[in-house]
Amino acid sequence: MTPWLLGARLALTANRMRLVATTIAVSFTVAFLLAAMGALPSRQAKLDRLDARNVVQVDSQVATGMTAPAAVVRLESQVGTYRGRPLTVRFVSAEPGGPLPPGLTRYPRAGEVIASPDLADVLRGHRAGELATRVPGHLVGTVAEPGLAGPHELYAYVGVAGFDHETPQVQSYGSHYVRQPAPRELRIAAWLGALGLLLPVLVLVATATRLSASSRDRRLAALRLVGATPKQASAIAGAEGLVSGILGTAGGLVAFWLLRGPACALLPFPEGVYAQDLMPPLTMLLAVLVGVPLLAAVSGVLALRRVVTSPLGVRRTARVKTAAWWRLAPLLSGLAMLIVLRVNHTAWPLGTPPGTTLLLLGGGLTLVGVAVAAPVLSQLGGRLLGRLPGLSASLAARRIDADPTASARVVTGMVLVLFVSAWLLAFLPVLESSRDSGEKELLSYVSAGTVITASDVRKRPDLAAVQRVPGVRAVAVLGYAALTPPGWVSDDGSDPARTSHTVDVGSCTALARATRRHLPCGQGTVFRVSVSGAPDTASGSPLAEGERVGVLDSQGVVAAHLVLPARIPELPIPAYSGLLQGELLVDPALLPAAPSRLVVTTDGRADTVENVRAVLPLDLAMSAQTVAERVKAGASVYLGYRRAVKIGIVLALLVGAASLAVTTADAVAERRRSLATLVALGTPLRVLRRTVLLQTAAPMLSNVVVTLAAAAMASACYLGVTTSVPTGVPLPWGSWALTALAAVVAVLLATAATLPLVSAVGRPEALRAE
Amino acid sequence: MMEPLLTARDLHLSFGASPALAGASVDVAPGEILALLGPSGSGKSTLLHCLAGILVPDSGEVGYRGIRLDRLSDDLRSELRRSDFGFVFQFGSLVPELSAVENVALPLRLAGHKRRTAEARALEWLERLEVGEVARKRAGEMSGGQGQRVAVARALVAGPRVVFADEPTGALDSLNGELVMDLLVGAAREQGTSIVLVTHEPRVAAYADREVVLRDGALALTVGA
Repeated sequence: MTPWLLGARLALTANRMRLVATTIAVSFTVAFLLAAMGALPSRQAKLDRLDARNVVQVDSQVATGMTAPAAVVRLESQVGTYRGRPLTVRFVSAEPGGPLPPGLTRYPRAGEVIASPDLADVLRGHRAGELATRVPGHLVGTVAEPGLAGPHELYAYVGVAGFDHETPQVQSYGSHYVRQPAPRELRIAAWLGALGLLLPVLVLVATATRLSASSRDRRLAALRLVGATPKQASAIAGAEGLVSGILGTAGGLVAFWLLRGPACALLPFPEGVYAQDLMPPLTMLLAVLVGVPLLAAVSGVLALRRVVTSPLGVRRTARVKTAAWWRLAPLLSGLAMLIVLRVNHTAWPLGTPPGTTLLLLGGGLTLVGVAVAAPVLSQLGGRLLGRLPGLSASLAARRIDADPTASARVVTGMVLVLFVSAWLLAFLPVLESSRDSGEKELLSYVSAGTVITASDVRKRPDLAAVQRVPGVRAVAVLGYAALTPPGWVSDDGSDPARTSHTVDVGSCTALARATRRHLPCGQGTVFRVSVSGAPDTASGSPLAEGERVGVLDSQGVVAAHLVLPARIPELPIPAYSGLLQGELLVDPALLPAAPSRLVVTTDGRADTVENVRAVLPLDLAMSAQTVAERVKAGASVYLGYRRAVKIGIVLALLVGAASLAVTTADAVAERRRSLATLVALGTPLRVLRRTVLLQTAAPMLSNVVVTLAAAAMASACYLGVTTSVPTGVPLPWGSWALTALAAVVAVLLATAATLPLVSAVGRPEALRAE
Repeated sequence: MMEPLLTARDLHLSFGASPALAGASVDVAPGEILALLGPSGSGKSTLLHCLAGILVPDSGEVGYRGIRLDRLSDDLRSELRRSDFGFVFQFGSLVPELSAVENVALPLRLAGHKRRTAEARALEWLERLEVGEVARKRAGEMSGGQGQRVAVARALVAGPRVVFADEPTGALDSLNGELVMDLLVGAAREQGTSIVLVTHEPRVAAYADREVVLRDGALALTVGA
């Protein structure tokens, strides 16, 4: 029998509990690895799907040199919102034989609709009426998966009778855009998240391989006694690792395959992700499938590195000693590097060799340092515990002091989870602040349920019908106009300092009703909206009181003149807030303008909002969006990542707690004789149970305090040196405290779960065993 | 006395500050059964481990058929344990995850024998030691006496020249102890195998041709031929 076969045989028939624990741990690792590696490609797959249906227009730059297809296909896309979800409708007029987009086998004829499965469900259901304007026609089929960005996308092709020649003609689909790498913040967040999940799982693997160490030692000693050489013993241990690695990798692959569908729901895309898109690149997949079993085999061999396996048993070569204070050096060095970077970040910005080196080395050293420092911190916790009164505290303190490294090993997984979680939580506000905050400002002026339409109208809305919709509280109509100060000349010789100014046209009182705010409407007919955000720099100097300005028509020609009042009061609603867009608000009595935007105040219920959309003409219906929907759309990616981070932290804590429970249970089982001796000497079981609990709690608490402090310093330094982070991003102390509390509670619960074992193994009869 | 098979000359070995052997010397002749006796801590097990090449003395010589055992590499000593030596310890010497027949076949399999051949020979030995019925059982499923007989079978299966037995009956009752010793000594005598036996039981020592008493790591008395 070759040692490898014997090792495989022993792995399968020896301690089943160990095999199962190791297999589960490796399975977790593989599944997490594959999911993490597939997360970023899934984003790319989505972009590829969107690109595949992108229209290449006849005579566009991409289509240069191509002959236009004989069969004319004209297509116009409208993007809107339905019950908070993005809705895309492509109106199409196609001659037979024209180029088809992915997901369609034919175009819908006039009056026909081909919709995505989710949208088809709506169109078949009792709410179909809500979409009568936006998706007109009868459903004749569904768009197949290649034509959709995600499984839950609301997407449709609607056949229309004919388009005018201004509507773009389709040359082909798929513009084969230049791929852009994912944004740096996203990549960092994704890798941090993956690391945060992976670390506790790796600790679980390490824990599982240590299970029943004494029985493995006995086994190896017995083999050495009958003549197995040290190399054969190593090969046997390696084979045991390899078997667990192969089983775990297979399990992980199956788990990934089965669970990647539900895992897709965690990714921050509103239309969802197809399971097949969550797929790591082939090279990475192969690397995991081959690398993990090999690593498991190597770890099995390395586990024997610090022991001498002799026929008389297994001897540890490393002496158990007190933890040395040098263990704090990597952590302190890492933090020092980050502080140096923070102080000199203007001279060494990120991207320069010193900046990048300090960040990577400092961050890496801090992370490793947290794990390396764990024994010395555990020892400190143990010594503090020793000062407390009571036998349990004394026993636990003695035990920690006898082998602080072993105590640290129990909590290291959780400590690493905490560190990465803390850093990740600090990173979330960066993602949040990097998105547009315009919606937030808008929310301070109108209620979340207010529907605002965009500014391009082909057909006048039936305002009375809108007013009649139950749940509608007020309607304000806004138009806009372009005004020019005196001296403005037309396009060919225009003065850049005197170009046109955009103004909103609307009734102040109607706006006051819609926003439910007290506005100074009685003070005039023209109001100056305060400037907020980024003003239109092209507009030059502001329009002045009493000035005679020209009113431009749609062709950009001065069609009329308007004299601005001598006094223009200020309106406390800023421009660019999403509600008003121009420099002034002019009463329609003074300046007639076609209505272009509606501000409809509703009770915020989804039914009301959809009923409003249903009575609006198509263009307005598609553009109509509540403020809440705008906020949600703007924050969808951020909210998705936040949710993924939270789920990830909970998962990591659970895995960490499981790992800790396994280690504690195994440690209790291994110490059954000493526990039994204590019981035989008359020590009450409750004292032993309390001892086990304190033995884990004390190192955990000392490690948590230092880890949180290190994470806070590292995060503050990192946020301070990243130029893409706006100044004043707050550190999430609340979330940190909550995560630390959750970690401590998880540790205590996991330890408490093993306490019944103390009663079971702590019987004096155990002294008779062996 | 004929040419010794195994010799130990002036062995010294300390574990930390405590000396376990302090100038022990002993010879073992082919086919001889030698009992090492002495109080606890006298160094008898340590001497046995040195003779078997499990421990290497700090000083002194261990010879086996003219080879300096104490100078051999761990690999070569392992090979000797597989081919020329057999072991029966008080407990813990069986691989708990393997069945009795697999345990007995183990030295043969490690030496490169085919599974079928190895297990056939193992089965013969199990039958001979009257434990054929537990061939497919694992260590935990056998009684102590059965387990020791399986260990004896494993010690003898490769046809060793020497069997080292450290308190082979220490965990057994007197009846089972006698049975194990009868079988071990009987089989050894049949194939001319030497036995080095560590015991503190006079009844077990009585099986030996010669008894050597150790005290404080050195030979204090020799009884017998």
